[in-house]
Amino acid sequence: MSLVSVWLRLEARRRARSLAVLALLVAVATTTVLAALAGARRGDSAMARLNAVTLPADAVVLPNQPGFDWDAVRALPGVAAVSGFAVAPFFVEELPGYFGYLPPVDREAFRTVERPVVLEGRLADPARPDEVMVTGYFPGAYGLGVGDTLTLRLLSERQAGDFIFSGEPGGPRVRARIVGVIRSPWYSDKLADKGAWFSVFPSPALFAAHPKNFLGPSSSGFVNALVRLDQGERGLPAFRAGLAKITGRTDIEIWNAADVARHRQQVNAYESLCLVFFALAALAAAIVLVGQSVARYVAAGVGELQVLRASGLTTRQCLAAVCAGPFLASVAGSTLGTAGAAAASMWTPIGAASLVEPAPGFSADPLVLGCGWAAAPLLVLAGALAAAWLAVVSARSEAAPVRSVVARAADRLGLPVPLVAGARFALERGQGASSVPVRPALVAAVAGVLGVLASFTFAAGVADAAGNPTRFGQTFQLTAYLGESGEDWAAAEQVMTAAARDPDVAGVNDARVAVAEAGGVSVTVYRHQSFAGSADVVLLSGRMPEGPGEVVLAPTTARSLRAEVGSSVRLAGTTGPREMTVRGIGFVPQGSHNDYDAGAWATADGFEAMFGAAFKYHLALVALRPGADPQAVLDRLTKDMAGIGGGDRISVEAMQPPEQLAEVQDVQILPLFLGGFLALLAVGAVGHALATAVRRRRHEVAVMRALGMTRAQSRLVVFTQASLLAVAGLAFGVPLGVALGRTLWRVVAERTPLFYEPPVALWALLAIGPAAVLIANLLALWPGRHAARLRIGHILRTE
Amino acid sequence: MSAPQPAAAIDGVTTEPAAVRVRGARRTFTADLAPVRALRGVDLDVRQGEFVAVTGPSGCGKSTLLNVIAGLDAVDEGTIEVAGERVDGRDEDWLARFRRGHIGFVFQFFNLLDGVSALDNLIMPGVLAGMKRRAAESRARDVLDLLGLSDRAEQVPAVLSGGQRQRLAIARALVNEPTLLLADEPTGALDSEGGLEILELFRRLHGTGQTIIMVTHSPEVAAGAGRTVRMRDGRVETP
Repeated sequence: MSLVSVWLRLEARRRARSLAVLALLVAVATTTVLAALAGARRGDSAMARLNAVTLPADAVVLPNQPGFDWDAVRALPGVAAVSGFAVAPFFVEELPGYFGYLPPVDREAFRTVERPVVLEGRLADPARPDEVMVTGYFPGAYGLGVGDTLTLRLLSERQAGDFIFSGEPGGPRVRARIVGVIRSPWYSDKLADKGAWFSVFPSPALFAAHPKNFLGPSSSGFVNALVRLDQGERGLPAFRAGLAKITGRTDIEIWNAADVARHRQQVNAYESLCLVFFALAALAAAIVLVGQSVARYVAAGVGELQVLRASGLTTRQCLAAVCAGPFLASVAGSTLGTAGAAAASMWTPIGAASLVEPAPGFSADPLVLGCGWAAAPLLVLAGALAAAWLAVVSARSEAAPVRSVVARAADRLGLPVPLVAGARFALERGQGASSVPVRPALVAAVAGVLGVLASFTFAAGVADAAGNPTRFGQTFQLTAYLGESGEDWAAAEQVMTAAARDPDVAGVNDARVAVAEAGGVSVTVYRHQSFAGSADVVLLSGRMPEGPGEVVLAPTTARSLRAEVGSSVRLAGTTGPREMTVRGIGFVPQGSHNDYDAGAWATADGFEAMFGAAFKYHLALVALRPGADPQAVLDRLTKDMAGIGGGDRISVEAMQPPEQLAEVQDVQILPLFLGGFLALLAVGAVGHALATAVRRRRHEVAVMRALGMTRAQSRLVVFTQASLLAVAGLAFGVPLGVALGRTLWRVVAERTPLFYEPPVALWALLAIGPAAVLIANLLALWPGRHAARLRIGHILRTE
Repeated sequence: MSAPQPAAAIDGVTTEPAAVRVRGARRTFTADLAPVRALRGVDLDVRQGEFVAVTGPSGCGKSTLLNVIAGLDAVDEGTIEVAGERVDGRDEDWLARFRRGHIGFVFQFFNLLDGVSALDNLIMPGVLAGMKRRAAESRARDVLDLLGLSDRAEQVPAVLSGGQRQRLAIARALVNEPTLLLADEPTGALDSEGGLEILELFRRLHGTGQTIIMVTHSPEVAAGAGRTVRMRDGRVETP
């Protein structure tokens, strides 16, 4: 060990800077990798941790029935708690355009079901109508937090009695103080609208003080409810049966809250997976970059220590001596990096998981940080030992160096000496003291191009989905609400005729909507009946139904029912259960009570067979011609409605993009980070390779200069090396990057779900070639200058 | 190889063209403790076809003299003429191009390219000088044959003996038929048998008219040259 300590002291004196740089590299790498891994774990567990502390609802029950008896529901066996909410808006004067929704109506709210964690402040007093709570994003979105005051504006009683409200609210003003910031699965922000909607929650005392301003003068409004069951999700089938028994209705829509939680967990899990991939890529990049530094460091040490072999130095002693410095530097770096990763927990989890994190802020993950702190120096030690061993073997090897096929071909073709030499520098390791590893730079060049193209290709997929609602199956741009609960507000045919007459309307579908039940799953069924023109349904497989016994299922519904094309499913509408054959898997319109990926299409006959004349909603789904301005058409149709009897109750609305679009856009940032990281890796590795080649092979350059190579030709050697690395990166990185980007996008498309269209990042494909060559040659500027300025006489005499 | 040029007669006095003419060459290297004055005003004439050995104790400036003649280093003062051309004060690229056609340099420690074969080591200077690859390869094979290394053409320098490597280095220096062959301690890294072999080779080359300046610290080696120039402390003692 005395040799090790002697050598260490020497190294600390003369190569302290190299060791410090190594420690810093290890620190940066450790921080990046561990922060990403810890963040992934935290994000993946956020939903489960939130559920564990918030008494989440198991079902959201939507009878949409005035005067519904919720006490009878509370009395059902297996029901742990019921908390009602009014299906009615309220407004906030300080926030023009904002409206709150679904205010709680009883004291069970925030206490026996969906009991939120309090991120700041406290829960609102259930006896005080002048207290409100907000979600986590609200303060950041509006600059208003605990202690600030909002002016709530309610509807007048008459306005509350109208189903469709327009204009300014004419009801009471209530000055309310924000007393808390809360979070639970129900009381949380959504990705698509962080803080923008459903983010202000009044105390139930507000409803108690002004019930008619929510339900209308004759309480014609609805109160729906959150329900918690003793047995959780397992208790749902019995609850459905009990509810049907006490109400006499089988068409009450019941959302399985666990489904919603599972979907959110899916998004969180996907984001966590992306973070894990990012961590692995960062780890690979770190291994290459740090590995190069360590390899160069120990190789130089082995070279120097070889002279002591004559004095009896053993191989083991040599390895121990040269590896001690990097190991100790990496311990220091790992310690610093672990501290950095712990500090970085302040900003995790990211994305959708941050919206459900029950304990935001600092959170050190002892497992990840502890293992990471120990693993980093061990990895460096392993790498140093391997590099040192290879250096020892190489120093004693008499084997002829392997020549590159490309360099030999260049030589045989009679290309100029600088081009041949540049090819050798790029592709041949060299021998002895002048040997330089070439694979890390080649791999890094490929990885850089691959990463950039993969991320741009993925981003092209996201952009395509964002700009094409048809990828989510939304082929209808406008919806006209014609009626509800079996009653039309105006002559539906007149309304649809008026819509079809518009020159920008391509098709109108006369869609009635109702809810059937299948195996404990609520299925929103749409009637497919073309009134005018045509509007496609986006199918993932199979075909549209053609008879009354056929349906198309949306993909998530199909998955829930374990159905596929050709399967038989039992759908129970108001007329009773019916066996229906699945003829296709496709998307449905995004509705107020269903997502685009959950529901079913039936023919007109099939719909009537299941529901008779009943419906929950009657809609006219309007498809526009390509290039039409939806807002302009909406304005025209709204004006047309005024000329139709009862038309003032008809509202025409634009289709809203599905929430999944925001989820897809949210994860776009990770592949971009990854691509950028890999590009930086490539720049670092290529720059390092160019600088190292000139330094380690200066003897070769000096010999060629002595033989008559000019300075410009010396630079050309380096530029050739750089360009070859870029070309190698392009040759392999472009096809691999496109394939990887498309594969990642396909995975996202299947998980979301959406219609997969192979993305093409055209501008990236066109620009990557010139950009790679340009950047490589820019990196070659300084080493090229160095090669041109070598003191050849001095080098040839001393080496 | 070019034959020695006949002496010219001007006004009855015989004059021979100079391959190298050095006048008042000075070169000082800066060092941490004190500057090192390697050349302190060197004058030297070498005629075409001469074989000159430059001797002297270690550190007397022999190798520096050779380097400034070859343009691998620059004088601080004085003039250097090679084959009638001034080489002092020239830029690096001019010197590089000049070396291609006029200078063949043999280093003490060979300075061969380790990663390439013997043949490729010889092809490179030919291609640098503007030969087509085929022509350069043909010339390289001829020179390898001349130096008895034909059977080593595809081998890398690492597997050759010291003497073979030095012969290869000499072969490389001869590929472009240089006006001047400069050798810095060509036998310094060899054993006595290898050294004699190299010396014999130089004699043969001289016999064909090659102008040679050889730096050596060995009197025995220097005795093999046509003329010996002794240096001490950066100056020529005997021209």
